[in-house]
Amino acid sequence: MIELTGLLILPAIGIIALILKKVLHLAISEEKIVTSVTIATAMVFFLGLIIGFQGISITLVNAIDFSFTLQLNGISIPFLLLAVVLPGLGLWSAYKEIKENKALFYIFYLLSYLSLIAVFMSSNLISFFIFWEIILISFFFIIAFWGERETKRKASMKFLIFTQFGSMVLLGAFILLYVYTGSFSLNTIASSTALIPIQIQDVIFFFVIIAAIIKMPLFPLHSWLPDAHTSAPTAGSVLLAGVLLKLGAYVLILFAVLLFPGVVKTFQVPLIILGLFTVLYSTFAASAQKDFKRLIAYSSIFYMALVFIGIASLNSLGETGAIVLIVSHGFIVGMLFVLAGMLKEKTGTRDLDKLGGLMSRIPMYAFFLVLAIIATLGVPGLSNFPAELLVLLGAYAVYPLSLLALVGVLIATNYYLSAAKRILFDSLKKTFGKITDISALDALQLSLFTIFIVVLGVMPSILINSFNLTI
Amino acid sequence: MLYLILLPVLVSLCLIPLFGERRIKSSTIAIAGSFVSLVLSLYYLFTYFGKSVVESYSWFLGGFSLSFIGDNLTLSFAVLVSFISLIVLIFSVFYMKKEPQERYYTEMSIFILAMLGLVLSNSLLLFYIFWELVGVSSYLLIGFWYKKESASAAGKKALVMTRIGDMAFFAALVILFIGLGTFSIPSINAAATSLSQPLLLLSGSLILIAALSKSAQFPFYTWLPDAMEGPTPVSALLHSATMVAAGAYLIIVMSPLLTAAGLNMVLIAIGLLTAFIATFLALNHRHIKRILAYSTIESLAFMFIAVGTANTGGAVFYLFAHAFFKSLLFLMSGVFAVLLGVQDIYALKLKKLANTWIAIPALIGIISLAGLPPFMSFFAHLSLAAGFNVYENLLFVALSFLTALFAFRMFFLVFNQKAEEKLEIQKESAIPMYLLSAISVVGGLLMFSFTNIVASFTYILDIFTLIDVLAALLGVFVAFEFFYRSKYQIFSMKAKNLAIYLSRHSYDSILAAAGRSVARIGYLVGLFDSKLSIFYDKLADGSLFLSSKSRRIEDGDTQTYIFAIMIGIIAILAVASIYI
Amino acid sequence: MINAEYILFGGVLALILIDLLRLRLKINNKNIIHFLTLAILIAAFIAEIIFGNMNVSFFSSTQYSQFVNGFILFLAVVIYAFLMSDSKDYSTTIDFLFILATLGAMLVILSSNFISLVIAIEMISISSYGLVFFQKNNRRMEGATKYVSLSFISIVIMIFGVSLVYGGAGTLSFTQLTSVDYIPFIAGVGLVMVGLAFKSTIVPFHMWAPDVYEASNSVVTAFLSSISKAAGLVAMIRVFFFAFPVSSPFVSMMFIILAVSTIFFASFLATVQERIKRLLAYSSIAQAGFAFVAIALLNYIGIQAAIFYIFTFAIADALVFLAYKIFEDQKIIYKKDAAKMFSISKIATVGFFIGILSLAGLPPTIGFFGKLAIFVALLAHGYVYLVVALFAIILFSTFYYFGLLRDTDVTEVRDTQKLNIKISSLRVKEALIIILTLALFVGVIFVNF
Repeated sequence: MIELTGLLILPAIGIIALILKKVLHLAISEEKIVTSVTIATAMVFFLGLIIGFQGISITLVNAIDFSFTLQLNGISIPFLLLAVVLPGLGLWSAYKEIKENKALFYIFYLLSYLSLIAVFMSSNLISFFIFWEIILISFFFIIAFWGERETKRKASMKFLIFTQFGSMVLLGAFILLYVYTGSFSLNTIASSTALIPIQIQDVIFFFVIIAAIIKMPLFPLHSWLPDAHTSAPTAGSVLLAGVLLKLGAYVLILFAVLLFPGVVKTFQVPLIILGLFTVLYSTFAASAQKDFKRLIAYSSIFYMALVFIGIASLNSLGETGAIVLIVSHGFIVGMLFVLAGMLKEKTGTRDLDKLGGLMSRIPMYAFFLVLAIIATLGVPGLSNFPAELLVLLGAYAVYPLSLLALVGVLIATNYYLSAAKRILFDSLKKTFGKITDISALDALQLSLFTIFIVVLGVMPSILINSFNLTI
Repeated sequence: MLYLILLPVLVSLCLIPLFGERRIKSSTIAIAGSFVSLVLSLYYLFTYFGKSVVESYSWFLGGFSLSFIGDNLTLSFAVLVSFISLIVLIFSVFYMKKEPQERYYTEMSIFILAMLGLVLSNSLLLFYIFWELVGVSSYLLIGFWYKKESASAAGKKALVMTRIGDMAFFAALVILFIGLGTFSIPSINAAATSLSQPLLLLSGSLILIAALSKSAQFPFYTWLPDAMEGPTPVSALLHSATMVAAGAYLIIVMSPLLTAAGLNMVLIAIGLLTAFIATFLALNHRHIKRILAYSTIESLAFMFIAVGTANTGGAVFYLFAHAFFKSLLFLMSGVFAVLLGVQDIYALKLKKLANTWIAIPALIGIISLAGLPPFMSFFAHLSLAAGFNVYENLLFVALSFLTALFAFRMFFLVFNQKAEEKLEIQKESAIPMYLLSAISVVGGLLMFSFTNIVASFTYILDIFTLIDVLAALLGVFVAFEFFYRSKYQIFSMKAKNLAIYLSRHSYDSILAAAGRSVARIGYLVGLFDSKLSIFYDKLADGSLFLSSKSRRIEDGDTQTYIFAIMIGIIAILAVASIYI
Repeated sequence: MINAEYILFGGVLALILIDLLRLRLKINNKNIIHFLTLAILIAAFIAEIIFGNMNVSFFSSTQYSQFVNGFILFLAVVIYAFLMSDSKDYSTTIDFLFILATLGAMLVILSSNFISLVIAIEMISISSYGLVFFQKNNRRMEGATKYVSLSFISIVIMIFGVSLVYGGAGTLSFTQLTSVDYIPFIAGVGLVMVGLAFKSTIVPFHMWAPDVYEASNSVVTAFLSSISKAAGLVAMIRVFFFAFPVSSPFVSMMFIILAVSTIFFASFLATVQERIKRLLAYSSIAQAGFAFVAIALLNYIGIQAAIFYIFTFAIADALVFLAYKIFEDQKIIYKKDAAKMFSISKIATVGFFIGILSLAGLPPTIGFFGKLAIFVALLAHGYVYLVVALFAIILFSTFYYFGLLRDTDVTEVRDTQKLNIKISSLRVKEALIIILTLALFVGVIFVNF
C-alpha cells in the first residue's frame, strides 16, 4: 500500500529544493528538480495503482471539523491520472519558454501541481477548498508574471475574478452543508444528506452548478477562458485546460450528482439544454477565431459542455462517458496547446492568416498536429471516441435532442480542418523558409501525449474500470 | 480469428514507418501485407463456407463489444477489398515512384485496413469505427499533394461532407443502441420493427444519410469529383472497393431496417435523381478523372436503386463488377497522367493501334461501364434490373443510353486515329490492368457461382433487356458520330448548356451559400462573444468608475470629515429614535 | 497574581525612573531603555499567557479577554521589535508611549464600566498622538493634528453619550444596566457607538484613518490598524453584547447596514488608490467592516466569529504594514513601483503576499478561516442575501488586492538598483516578518464556530 501523502510529499520536496537552491545557490538546475519530482510522483502514482493506496486523516482543528484527510473516492483515480501526469508532460514547453525567474515559476508550478493532486484526494471540505484556492492563486501568478506581455495583466485579473466568483459560490455551498450537517467531512455529509431541507438542497445545488459553470466553463460565464489561454505560457495552458477545467466537472459530480441526485433530476433538462446551447455556441465561436490558441480554447469549452451534458444525464452511461471524456480531453487538449506553443516558437505567430504551407518544412510537427486534430474530432481508435459515444448515449436516453451536439462536432470538423489547412497545407509562405522541424525532445513530449491518447482510445476499459460512481 | 485478416495490414502499417525505406521498401511491405490479407480472406472464405461465424470481443462496459462476422458475403467482400488493394498497390509502384513513399503507403495501409475491417464487422459499433477510419484516411490521401491548394481543399471537403454522414450514423448508433440495447447488425435488423415508428424512420433516415454522404449521392455528391485531386491509385481504390463502396455496403447490410422504415422509395428516388445528375455532369466534363468520378456516382446510384427495389443481391453483384472495371479505368487514367501528364480528354489524342496494350483494357473498361454484353458488367446490369418495375426500367433505359454516350465519348476522344501520341508499356502498370480486364471479361461467367457464394439474386431476360442494350448501342453510335468523327460540335455545346443548367455550378453555389451562412453564424457568434467579453470588462470598469466617483468625498479636508461624522450621528440618533 | 497589566504599568514607571537616571548619568546610548521596553513587553506577554487578566473594580475579564490581550501583546512585541530594529537614535519617549498605548488597549478590553472604558480609550488615543508625531516633519504634523482634532470630537461625543446612559440607567457599570429609562438611554447608546465606531473606523466615522495612517511611520500605522482598532472593535462587543440590553433584529439590522456600507465604501475607495499605503489603509477599514458584520449578529456564535476575525486581520494588517515599511524605506510609494519589491527583500515580499492573501480571505491563511467563521455564523442565522452581498464585495476587493500583487511582477525588473539597506537590521525585520507570517498559518488553531 502506498500512502496518499506520498503523492504530496514529493512535490513539496521539490518546492523546498527550489527554495534551497535559490537561497544556498546550489548548482543543480531548476529543470532537473522539477523533472525528477514529477517523474517520481508519477511513478509513485502508477505503483500505487498496482498495489493500492492508503488514506490518511489528521485532525487539525477539531472545533470546526477541519482535518487533513486524504482518501480516494469513487471518481478520484481518473482525475488524479490527469493531475499527476499532465503537468509533467507540459514541462518541456516550460523549459523552452520560461527564461526569467525560473525558480519562482517552478515553485508556483509545483505548488499548483501539489494542490491539484491534493484536491482530488481531499475528503474534508476545508482542505479541499484550501487546495482549490491555492491552485487558483498559483495559476494567477503564472499568468500574471509569465504570460504574454501585452495581455497578461488583464487576462490574469479576469481569470482570477471569474474563478474566484466560482470559489465563493462553492464556499457558500460548503458552508451550507456544514450548517445543516454539522460536518465538513465528505463521508459524514454523504451519509446525512437527509438532514438538509429540500430548499437548502436546491440552494446548494444551485451554488455548485454556478461554480461548475464558471470553472468548466459554460456559457455565459466562459469569457475568462479564451483570454487566460491566449496569454498563459504553454505549460500553463496545458495545466489550465488539462486539469483546472476538470475541477468544475469534479465538483459537479461529487457535490451535485452524487450528493443530491434527486435535485439534479429536477433540473436535468434545463442543464442539458444549457450544455447543448454551449456546445453550439462555442463551436460557432471557435470557427470565428483567427488565433490558433484561442480556437483551441473555444473548442475546449465545447468539450467541457459535452462533459456537462454527460454528467447531467444522470445515468451510468453518461457519467462514465463524461469522466472518460474528461481524461481524454485532458490529454488531447494538452497536446494541442503544446503544439500551439511550438507553432509560436517556430514561426513567431499563431495567427492562422499569417501561416501556411508549413508541412514541407516541419513534417514531424505536421504529423502530430493532424493526429491531435483527428483525435479531438472523435475518430475511433483515439480516446475521444468512446467518451463521446457514451456521453451521447447517456444524454440521448434522457433527452433525445442531445443529439444536436453532433452538429457541433461537425462544425468542429470544419474549423479544425480549416486550421490544419491554413497552417500546414498549401504553398509555403516565404517568411517561413528557414524554420526547422521540431527537435527530438519535442517529438518525445508529443509522443507521450500520443501514447496516452492511443492507449485510452484502444482500451478505454482500463480507465472505465478504475472508477465507480460513488463517494 | 477473423481479425487475422486485418492483422497483416496492421503489421505493415506499423512496419512502414519503422523501416522508413531503409532496409525494405515501403511498397514491398504494403504489398506483402495486403497479399497475406488476400490469402487469409480466401482461406477463411473456404473454411467458413456456408457458415456464419460471429466472433465477439468485449471492448468496454457491458454491451460495447466488437464483433466480426465471417460468412460468405463478408468474406467475399474481404477478398474483393484485399484483391483490389493488392492490384492498386502494385500499380502504385509504377505511379508513385517519385513521391514520398513512407507517408503514401502508411496512409494506404490505414485505408485498406479500415475497409477490410468495415466489411467484416458484425456490430454497428465496429462498423462505425472503421467507417470513420475510412473517412479520415481518405482525407489524408486526397490531400496527399498538400502543396496544391485544390488538393488540400478537396481533402477537407471530402472529410467535412462525409462527416455529415458520420454524424448521422453516430446518431443512428445512439438511437438504435438505446432503443434496442444492442449493436449487433443482425439483431438490429431483426428487432427493427419493435422500435416505435418515428424512431424507426429517424434511425433509418440517418443511416441513409450516412450512406448517401459516403457514397457521394445527392445531395452530397460534390466531394467526389473534387477528390480527384488525390493520386490516381488512391482514386482507383476509393472509387472501386473502398470509400464509396462503404456507403453502398452499409445500406446493403442495413436493408431490412431501411425497408422496415419504409425508405425504399426514397432510396430509389434519390438513386434515380443522382444517376441523372451524374450522367449529365459526366457528359459536360473534359477531365478524364472527373468523368470517371461522375460515372462512379452513377454506378453507386444504381446500387442504391437496387437496394430500394429489395434486390440486395443484385446490388452486391453490381458492386463487385463495378469494383473491377472502375479500378481498371482509373489505372488507365493514371497511366495517362504519369506518361503524358495530361488528363483532359480533348488534349489526349492517342494512336489507337500503337497503343493497343492500353486501348484494349480501356475498351474493356468502357464497355463494362456502358453495360454492354457479354462482359461481367452486363450480367451485373441484368441482376440490377431484376427488381425494377416498368417506370424504373424506362428510366434505366434512358440512363443506359446516356451512360454509353459519355463513356464512349471519352473513349473516342482519347483513342483517336488521327492522333500521334505513343505510350511506353511498363510492367507495373500493365499487369494490374490486364488482370482487372481479364476479370471484367470473364467475370460474367462467374455469375451462377456468385449466386451460390456471395449473395443470391435473380435476373430476368425480358424485352427491357433488349431495349436496354439497344439504347446503349445507340449511345455508342451517337458518341462515335459526334466525337470520333466530330460531326456535330453544336450538340456537345447544347449538352453542355443543359448540363450547366442542372450542374453543380448552381448546386455548388447553394452549398457554398450554406457554408457561408454557417461561417456567418460563426462570425456573429464570435462577435457576440467578444462583445460579451467586453461587457464583463465594462462591468469591472463600471465598478471602478463608481469607485473613482466616491473618491471625491474624501478630499483630505477635516471639515468634510467632521461633516460626515455629524451626518452619521444624526442618522444613528434618528434610527435610535425610531427604535424607541 | 502578576498580571500583564501590572507589569506594564510598573514597567512604565520604572522606565521613566531609569531614563531619568540615564540622563543624570549622561549616558547617551538609549538602547538600554529600548531593550528594557522590549523585555517588559515580552514579560507582559508571558504573564498574560500564564496568569490571565486582572479582575479588579472597574475591570473584569470575559472569556475572550485573555485571547485578545494575548494577541495584542504578541503584536505589540513584534511591532516594537520591528521599530527598534532600525537602530536609529529614537527618543525614549516612544518607549513610554508605546507601552501606555498597549496598556490602554488591554484595559479597553477589560473595562466593565463606562468610566474605565472612556479612560482606557483616552489612554490609547493620547499615546497614539505622540506615536504618530514622533519623527517630526510636516506630514506627520498634519496627520497628528487631524487625528487629535477628530479624535477629540469623538471622545466628547462618547462622553456625552455615557452621561446620557447614566441619565437613563442610573449606573455606569456594564453588569447593572438592566432597568432603564429608554429615551436618554437609547440616545446615549447611539452616541457611545459613535465614539467606538470612530476608533474602529466604521463608516462614516472612518475618514481620519487613511490620512493618519498615511502620515504616520508605517510601524505606527501597523500599531494603529491592528492593536488600536482591535481594541475598539472588542470594546464594541463588550458594550453591545454584554452590557446593553438592546439586542434585537432592529439593532442588528442597523449594525449590518453600517458594516456593509463600511466594507463597500472602503473597497471602492481602495480600488482607485495609487499609493500602496493608502490602499492598505482602506483595506484595513474594510476589514473592520467585516468584523462588525459578525458583531452585528449580537449573539454568541457571531461574537466568537468576530473575535477570531479581529485576530486574523490584526495580524495580517500588522504584517502588511510592517513589510511595507521595508519597501517604503526604499521609496516604493506607488503601485507602479511594486515590481521592485522582490529585489529588495524576498522574505518581506513573500510575507507581504501572504498578508494580502489573508486580508483577501484566501486559504490557507487564517484570513480565510476568519471569513469562514463569519459566513458560517451568518448562514446559520439565515442571512443568505447578506452573504451573497459579502461574496460580491469580496470578489470586488480581489481587484485591488490582486491588482497590487500583480504589480509586483518579478519578470518586469531588469536592473537591480543598489539598495540602501543595513543588512543586519533587515535580517531582524525579516525574522519578525517570518514570525507574523507563520502566525497567519498557525493561528488557525484558535478558530471556533
